[in-house]
Amino acid sequence: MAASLFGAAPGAAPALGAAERTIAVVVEFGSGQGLPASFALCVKEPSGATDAQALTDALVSRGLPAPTYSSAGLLCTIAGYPSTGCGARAPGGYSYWAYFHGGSSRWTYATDGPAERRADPAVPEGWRFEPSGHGNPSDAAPDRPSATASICPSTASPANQPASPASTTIPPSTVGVTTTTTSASTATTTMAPPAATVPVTRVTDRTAERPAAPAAVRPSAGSLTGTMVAVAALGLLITIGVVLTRRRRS
Amino acid sequence: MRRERTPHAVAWWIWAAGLALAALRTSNPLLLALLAAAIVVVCVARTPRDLQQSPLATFARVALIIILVRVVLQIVFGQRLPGHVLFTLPSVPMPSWAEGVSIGGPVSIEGLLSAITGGLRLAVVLLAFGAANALASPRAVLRSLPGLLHEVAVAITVALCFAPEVLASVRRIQQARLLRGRPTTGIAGMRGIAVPVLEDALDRSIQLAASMGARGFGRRPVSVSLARERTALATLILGSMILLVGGYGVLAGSSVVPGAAWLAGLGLAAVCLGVGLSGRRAARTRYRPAPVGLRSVACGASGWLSALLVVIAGVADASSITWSPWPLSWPQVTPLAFAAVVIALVPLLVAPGEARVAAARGTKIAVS
Repeated sequence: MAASLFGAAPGAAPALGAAERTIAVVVEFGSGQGLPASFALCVKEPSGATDAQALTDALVSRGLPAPTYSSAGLLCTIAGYPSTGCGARAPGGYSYWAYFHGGSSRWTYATDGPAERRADPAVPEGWRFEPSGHGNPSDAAPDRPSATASICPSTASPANQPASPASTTIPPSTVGVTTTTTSASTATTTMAPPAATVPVTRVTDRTAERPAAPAAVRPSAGSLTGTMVAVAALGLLITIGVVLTRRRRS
Repeated sequence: MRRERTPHAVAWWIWAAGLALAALRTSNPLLLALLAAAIVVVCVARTPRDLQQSPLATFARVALIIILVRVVLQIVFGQRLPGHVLFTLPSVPMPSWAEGVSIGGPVSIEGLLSAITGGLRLAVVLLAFGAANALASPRAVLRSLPGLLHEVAVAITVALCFAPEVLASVRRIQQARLLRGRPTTGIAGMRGIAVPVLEDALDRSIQLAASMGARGFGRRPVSVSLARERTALATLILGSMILLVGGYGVLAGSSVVPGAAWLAGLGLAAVCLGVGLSGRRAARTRYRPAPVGLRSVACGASGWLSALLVVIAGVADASSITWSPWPLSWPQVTPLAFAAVVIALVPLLVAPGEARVAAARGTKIAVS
């Protein structure tokens, strides 16, 4: 099988090529002015991968920053949005990324986390930013349809799909971008499913522009002084502690 | 009034509580490590030398175990957010209804760092209380509780004395049975030890009750009105409940309980009012009360100033006290957070060193 040939490619995800499935990921930035465009992504994942892995791969494959999480494991940003705060209190509730499970008829507010959820081709993962959400199922669900068939039409019959490289990080250049100008409620693609040789990862964008992605949160060389000074102080304190303990014992 | 030589026992506990609060407010491993180092240095430098074994060592051991347990739990059952995978454990597939539980799977650097940081936070809290235990005995603190809590303090003191006495009692009876060639292990041994230990405990509690009764414990002075006492108690209970809710809000971040800081302040005021109302209630004297002076105030305030600085650093720049391994980055310590660590070291200046205390006590030691 082709998958097993490509599966051992360097830098590829665990060689589980034969069991790869296409996972649909919907990211919506909520309603409001000046927000980045929302998008839907389809990404190939080995069986056993989690929704969190699928989200990371989907974003990275588009050249967007990977999602960040708080120390408690709460998802803070998708594609670098929002730039500040993590589940911060907002007028009327909290501003946070709500997580939904898709289905054939509607989105359901997730009762688990993306890292606990095994990615399921039949259950797209939906993310919607709630500027003032309540943190319960009353929060608004994504506008896009919830069924895999409408998000990733080409994967409606997985059995007919050709095996693709196990690598999930497909460079953005190979990602087919289709632009639709349809209303929010019907995100029908204007393009027929790509030919069998094209990688299955497809992106349907509501607008042509990409979400505004701030630079990845990574300290520059200059801001490392805070770390250096603190490490030096820590070393000094530990030395004092050791010397004092020795002196008391003697 | 005697001159204050060392900070009051309560001051040390207030200092430690402030530092524990500072540690609970941050998830920055570098800041946590600095706080831990500051606590250990102050404790090692200022623990009375006559202490046989410092409780800090015991607490430090427990703290290490906590970090280890967190790491092992993370490896086996942990949260498996995407990251740099170190190794992959064989995983047990779970049925769909138990998908939230993961047993085995990829172990990432990020997950391990998150577990270590979480454990470190609890470790610093434990170290703070270990240091408080070493610097001032909990019994000295109970001695200085306000009159309203006198009965509670006595009950806690009795309870604190109970465990070591039971252990001593068990050891004594075990030795006696060994000498007589009776079994000390197994069910027969347990029965042989449990009955005398219980008898011993009953005897001692009757003796304790008698001696407490002889010293007038639980006697209400005639001069205090019952209504006033009840008001004081109600205010105290209500105040501590509000303080509990507000304190939880302050620790968990103000997004959980609205106006948490105000609630905590209100609760604290109510507690002070309750204590004040009942202030003159207990007609009892203290043997050689420890004086409270500038040293104690500076010592207690430094811990809470440190916590306040950490909170202010967090308000000014949330990323300076919160750190997350997703994405991986070096933890930063801003000047404000650094100042919090320096302030935590103030007791080193305020409390006299071992040599000076010994010099001040010198004459007395020579006489006795």
